[in-house]
Amino acid sequence: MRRDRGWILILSLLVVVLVLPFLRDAIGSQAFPGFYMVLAFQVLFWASQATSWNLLSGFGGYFSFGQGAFYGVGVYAMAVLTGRQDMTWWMATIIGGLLAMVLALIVGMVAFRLRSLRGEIFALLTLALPFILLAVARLSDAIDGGQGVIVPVPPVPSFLPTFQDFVFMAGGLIAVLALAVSYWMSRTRYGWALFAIHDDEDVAEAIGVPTFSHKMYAIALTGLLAGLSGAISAMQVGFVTPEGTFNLRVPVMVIVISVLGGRRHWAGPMVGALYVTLLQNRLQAGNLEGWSLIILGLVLAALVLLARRTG
Amino acid sequence: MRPTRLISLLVALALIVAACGGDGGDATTTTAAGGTTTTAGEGGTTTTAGGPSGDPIVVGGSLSLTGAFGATGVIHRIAGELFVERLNDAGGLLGRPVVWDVRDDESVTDNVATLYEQLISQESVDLIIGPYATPNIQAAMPIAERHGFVLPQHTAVLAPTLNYSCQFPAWSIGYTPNEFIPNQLADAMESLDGIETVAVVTNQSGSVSFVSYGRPDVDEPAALEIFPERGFEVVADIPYPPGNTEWDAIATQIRSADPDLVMLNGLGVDANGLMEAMLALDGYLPPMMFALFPAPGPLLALAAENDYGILSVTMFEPNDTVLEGLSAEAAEIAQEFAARAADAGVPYTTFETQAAASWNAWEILIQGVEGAGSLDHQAICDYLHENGADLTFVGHVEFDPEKNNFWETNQMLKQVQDGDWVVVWPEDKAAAPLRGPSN
Amino acid sequence: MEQIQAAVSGALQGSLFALMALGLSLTWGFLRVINLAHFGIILLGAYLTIELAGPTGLGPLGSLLVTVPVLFVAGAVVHLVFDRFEVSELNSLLISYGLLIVIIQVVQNVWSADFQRLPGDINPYATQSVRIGDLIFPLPTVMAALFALVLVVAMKYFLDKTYAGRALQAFGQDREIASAFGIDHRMLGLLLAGASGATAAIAGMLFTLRGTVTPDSALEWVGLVFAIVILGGIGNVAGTLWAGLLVGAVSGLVAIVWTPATSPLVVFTLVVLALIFRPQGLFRRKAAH
Repeated sequence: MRRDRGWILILSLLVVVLVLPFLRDAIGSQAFPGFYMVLAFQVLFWASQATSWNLLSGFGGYFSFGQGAFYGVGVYAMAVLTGRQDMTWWMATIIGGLLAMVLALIVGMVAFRLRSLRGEIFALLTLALPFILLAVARLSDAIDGGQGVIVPVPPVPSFLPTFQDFVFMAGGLIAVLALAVSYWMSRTRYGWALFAIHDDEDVAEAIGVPTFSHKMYAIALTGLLAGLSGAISAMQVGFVTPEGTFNLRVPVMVIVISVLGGRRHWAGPMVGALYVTLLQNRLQAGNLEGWSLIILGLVLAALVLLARRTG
Repeated sequence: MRPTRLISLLVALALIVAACGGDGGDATTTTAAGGTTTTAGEGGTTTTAGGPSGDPIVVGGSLSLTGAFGATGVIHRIAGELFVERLNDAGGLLGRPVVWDVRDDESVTDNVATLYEQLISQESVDLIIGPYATPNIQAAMPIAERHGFVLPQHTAVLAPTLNYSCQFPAWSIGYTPNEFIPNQLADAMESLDGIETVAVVTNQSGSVSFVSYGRPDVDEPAALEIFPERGFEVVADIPYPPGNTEWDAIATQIRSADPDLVMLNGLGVDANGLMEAMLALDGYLPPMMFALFPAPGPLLALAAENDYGILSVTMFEPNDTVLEGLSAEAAEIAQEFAARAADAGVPYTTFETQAAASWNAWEILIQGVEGAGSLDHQAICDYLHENGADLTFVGHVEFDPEKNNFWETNQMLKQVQDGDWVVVWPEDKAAAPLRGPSN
Repeated sequence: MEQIQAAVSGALQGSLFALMALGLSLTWGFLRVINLAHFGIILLGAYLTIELAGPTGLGPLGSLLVTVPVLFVAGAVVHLVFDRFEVSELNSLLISYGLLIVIIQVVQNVWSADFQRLPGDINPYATQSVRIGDLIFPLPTVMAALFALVLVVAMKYFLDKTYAGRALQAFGQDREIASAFGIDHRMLGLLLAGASGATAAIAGMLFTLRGTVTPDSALEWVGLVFAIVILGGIGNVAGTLWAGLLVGAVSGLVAIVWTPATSPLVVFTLVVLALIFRPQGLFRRKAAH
């Protein structure tokens, strides 16, 4: 894709996100069921998560298994602040994003200062994160205490027809933000620095790339975007539990999606998200009980085996 | 563009086209076992002879058919299939055949909301029935509420949190199960000699933890407060995370606390794990033990092997004393279910609380529709509020919106005796007397 | 006293997880693949044990005669796929994850999602124990510890003292140079992967002696096993065992002193600290890397 096309794509997505709910309302539920908004939201959610993951891990090559931790912080921020504290949803979302960013910065401070923490060691460090947060969420009654937290349905802004449209739009705006950040990074020195770090960090440092600060930017953005997206998704789910939030599903999914879509390209994760979400939806709707997961697993294995040459 | 990438994109495109194209017209298939109810397309062909006719009424729902709750999900599926078959054989609902579109939520709570949204908005089902397991039910409730659909649900007993007025429980432990359960157990223990100390062991999952501790942000009594009030001393308070498989430490703690009663507020095979760990400590078992929501089959097997009278709760067991208060149909259904469960390879085939909860949910739904005479959800909801329901396995129940529709509980205690679960409490329903510690 | 009991019981229980971790650690360290399907193979080991132990009259230990060879082959086959396609470490993770999902679903289709356990008459070990002074050790955990010890010692002997073993170590450190010496890494790799599968069969069997299994059990093992692999040092055979004992003991102790939910917090914080300060694992001798 040549230089300027990227912006066009992002802008068109923005337009779609803003207009689709009203368009759907005009067409009517018969032709355009509300469920498609749910499906669209899922695609946008995974696109946000995978794109944010890809900043550090795809561009920068620092494989992170901790996406679930940042996502979970956003989820619980929304759940606790709106469910137990009566905060507005947008305030909770912003706080969720900021808290996740703070966590990311802490991880970065610890991990990036030490030379030895490269490659698989960094990956393992981030793998431990969700498990730690899981235990914390369980132990702390202020956060969860183990029973789960109900996320109340927020008052939908009056210009939007349904709750589903609202969640779609909120999630969509964050996805657009994530894509924009990814696109911008890939076109500027921030991204180039990360690519250089990916290819060979020692060389990058030798030629004067400020590796530490750029990795910190990347991980901070990862945390921020993942947290924002997680907070919105909490409203969609409605009821969150520690084990349902801090498990390996999100970390593994974002890796799968990004690898399938392409890790070096800013829009790669978006493509991957579209693909995987639709595949899962088709398998579920096909009522292939007992086969859907087999097919999904085989498709995943096969595609990675084949895609390895390109990705 | 490299070939593999191109292929991937093409496949993706194909999927998108398929996603937008196919579903509206697709016949929603049932998972009906035998074959009297059939899949019906838009035109509504049925093959039940001389039975219901016309466009089928579609009831949508999800169950955990795979994954962590799969073992219990399959019981609900078999019960549901049996119910729908009998219903159609008896003329259907409002004269029309009923088709049950059940999806697998894979025991993942996040999937539940999506599935119900899909069923309601995309598949346009006429009615819905709830999933299994408290967190899943709590996830489905807001969707039902948004669309104004009546939601009969099987097993969420955490009454105060289920505040959607058209949610109807099929299993009720009253409005305050956190008070009822410990008190009932305390009543039973008082009828025995020498039970003075209690160890409370708790699974920190939302389905059970409130029975020990109440909800975290609410000041309400629960087991840990109630036992001392009733004159029992709590000698150990041990919470553990859901999915725990390490029981040795807990067993050791219990053994040194030496309680007369262990109240295990747990799920699934927690009781099995704990019992085996205790037995490994030189054959130790506490004098009395209670497990709140165990998987009945495995626990029965282990307790029977060790001739140990462990207790649990139940809403229905096919014991004579329980059956005699109910209609003849109850026994017949229980037998039919057992046969089907055996065919399906389910290890434990007895028709008990879980299956009964499923049956209740269906009856509530069907009676609501028949009473209202239509598929209008508000009408159904109002009818149920005004008239309650007559449940084959429980009797008549009333739905009071002030109590979030949770009806007067009929909960009993059951015990493993001579290789079977037997109802032992309250005394007027007991099939056999409560056995105290065997020394 | 109960603290000591809890710590020791926990350590023995940890040896079972160390055994699970052994196979993973070996293929990761020497063959450079992160094989999540290993958990699927352990799961198969458990289910096959339950399936065979009763009807054939072999009992759980006897069923090893079948499960070990079968899963040896399974492990080798998985590795064959990785090797043929020259899969990178990251991709091996993703592919094996796909395989794991497939295995879990197949197990569920065949055996249902219901809880499965060995009945008492076939499994007399579950409730027996060994008594030493005031301490009581459940027999299955003692057996697990014995198996783990034997296998670890055998593996160490193989790696340090045999030509094939040292060749594998060389291969693990530097592929190109090892190949230049004419070592048939392909065959060695298959053998090692097969051995890993065999340990999985044993681990699965040992698990059934004490617990119930469901298809999802495979996923529940992942976190703890990874923690042990990391703490022990990837590819460090003896270290894996020590790490398992340590994690088990700490878990047991923490469970009694605080609550069971605190155990994972402590264990994974330990993992984080170890990664920061001793990324080669807590037990690796400085020599290797």
